[in-house]
Amino acid sequence: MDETALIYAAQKGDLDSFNRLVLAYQDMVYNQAYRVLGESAAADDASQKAFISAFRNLRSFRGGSFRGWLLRIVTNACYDELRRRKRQPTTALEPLDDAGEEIESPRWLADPGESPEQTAERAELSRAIQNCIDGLTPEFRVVIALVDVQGLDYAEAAEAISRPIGTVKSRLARARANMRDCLQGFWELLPGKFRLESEI
Amino acid sequence: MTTRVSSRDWETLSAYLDGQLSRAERARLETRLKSSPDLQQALRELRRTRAVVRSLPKLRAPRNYTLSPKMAGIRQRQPRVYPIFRFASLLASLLFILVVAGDYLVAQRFTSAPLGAAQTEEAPMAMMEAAPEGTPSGPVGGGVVESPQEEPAETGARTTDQTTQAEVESMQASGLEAAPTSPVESPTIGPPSAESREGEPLPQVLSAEDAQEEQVRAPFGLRIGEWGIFRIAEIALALVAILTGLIAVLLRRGFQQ
Repeated sequence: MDETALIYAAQKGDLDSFNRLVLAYQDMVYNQAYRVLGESAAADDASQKAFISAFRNLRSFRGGSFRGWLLRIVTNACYDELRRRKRQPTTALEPLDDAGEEIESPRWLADPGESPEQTAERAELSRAIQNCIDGLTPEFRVVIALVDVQGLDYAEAAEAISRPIGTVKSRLARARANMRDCLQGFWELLPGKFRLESEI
Repeated sequence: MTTRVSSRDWETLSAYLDGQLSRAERARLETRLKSSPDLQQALRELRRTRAVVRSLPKLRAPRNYTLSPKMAGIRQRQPRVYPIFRFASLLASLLFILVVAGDYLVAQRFTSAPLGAAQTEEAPMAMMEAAPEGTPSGPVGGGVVESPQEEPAETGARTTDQTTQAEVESMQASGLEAAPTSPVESPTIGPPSAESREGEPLPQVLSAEDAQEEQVRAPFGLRIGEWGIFRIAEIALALVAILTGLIAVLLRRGFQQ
C-alpha cells in the first residue's frame, strides 16, 4: 500500500495504517526533535506526542507533503516542550568522572566499529555541533534542523514552520552564520574533507 | 580567518548554496564573487559550516512510536451483551440488598413472637387447671382414657386449638409471622391419657397441631422445608449478581486486550 492510500485509510480511523506511517517516519521525527531539544528523553517524549497529535489531527491534512506536515507537528511539540522548560527550568544530567568532571565522550556513545580515538573524535565533533545548535535560538534551531538535517527545501521548511519562504531564507542564513562562529574553536576536530585550503 | 560580509550577503550566499536563487540573482552573485575575495572566503566558510551540520549522524528512534487504541483515543465498541450483564448484576445486587434487609426486619419481628407466645401459653394453662373441675369425667392427671375423643381430651384439644387459633389471630392482627408454636408441650396441657403417661403424645392432638402449624406458616409462605424463602432468594440473587458481574468484567477485559 502506498503512502497516499495509508494516509487515506488512517484518516478513516484505521490505526494500523497510521502505525505503518509511524514506522516509516519515526526516525525523521525523532531526529528533528533531538536536534531542536538537544536531549534524548525530551526528544522521545516530543516524538510520541507528535504522533498522537498527528493521528488526532489527521483529518486536517489536505494533501501535499506528509513529511512536511509531520515535521510541523513535531516542531510544535518541541516548541511546547521549550515553553514548558522555560516555565520549569531543570538541570541536565551530564556524565561525570570520579573527580566530578564532565565526561565529554561517555562510553555509551562509542561505536564498536571505530578505534577509540576515532570514536572519541566523532563523538566530540557531534557533541560540538549539537552544542552549537543548542546555542541557537529555537527559531534558528528549527530551521537549520529542517533544512540541513532533514534536507527539506525552503518551500517545505516554510510550510513546516507556517512562515513565508523569505523567513526561512533569512533565519537559515543567520543560523549558519552563528554556527560558523560557534564552530571556530572546533575546526581542528574536523576531518580533512572539511578543511579549507588555507587551513591545510 | 573570518570574513566580514553584510547579513544580506550572507543570506544571498546561503540561498546560493542551496540553489534557491533565481537565475538573475545567481548571475549577479557570481559576478560579484569573481571580484570579491571576502565573498569567496565567506562562501567557503558557509559551505563548510553547512557540510559540517549535514554530517551529523542520523539518529535512530530509541523505540517504536506506534499508537495503541488507548493512546489514539479510540473508544472501542463494547460487546452488545456487556450492558445486559452489567445491568443484570446491578439489579441482582440491589434485589439482594432488599431481600437481606427484608429478612432482617422479619427476623427482628420474630424475636418478639416467643414472648407473646409465652404469655398466651400461660392463659391456657390457667384455663386447663380450671377446666377439669368443671368437667364431670375428667380426673385431673389420672383416669385412664379409653378414647382420645372423650370429653377431657376433646376439651384439651379444643382448648389447644382455641389457644393456637388465638395466637394466630393475634399475630395476624398484628401482622406478625406466626411464631413456631410448641406442639410437643401442648399435649401436657390437656388431661393426661394412657399414651401421654407413657410419654407418647396424642396422635389426634399432634395432627391437629401440625395442621395448626401448617396454617400458621402457610398463609405467610415464608418457609419451605428447613430453608426460609428469604435464604433461598438471598443465595440465588447473590449467585446471579456474582456470575453476571464476573461475566461483565471478563467481557470488558477481553475486549480491551
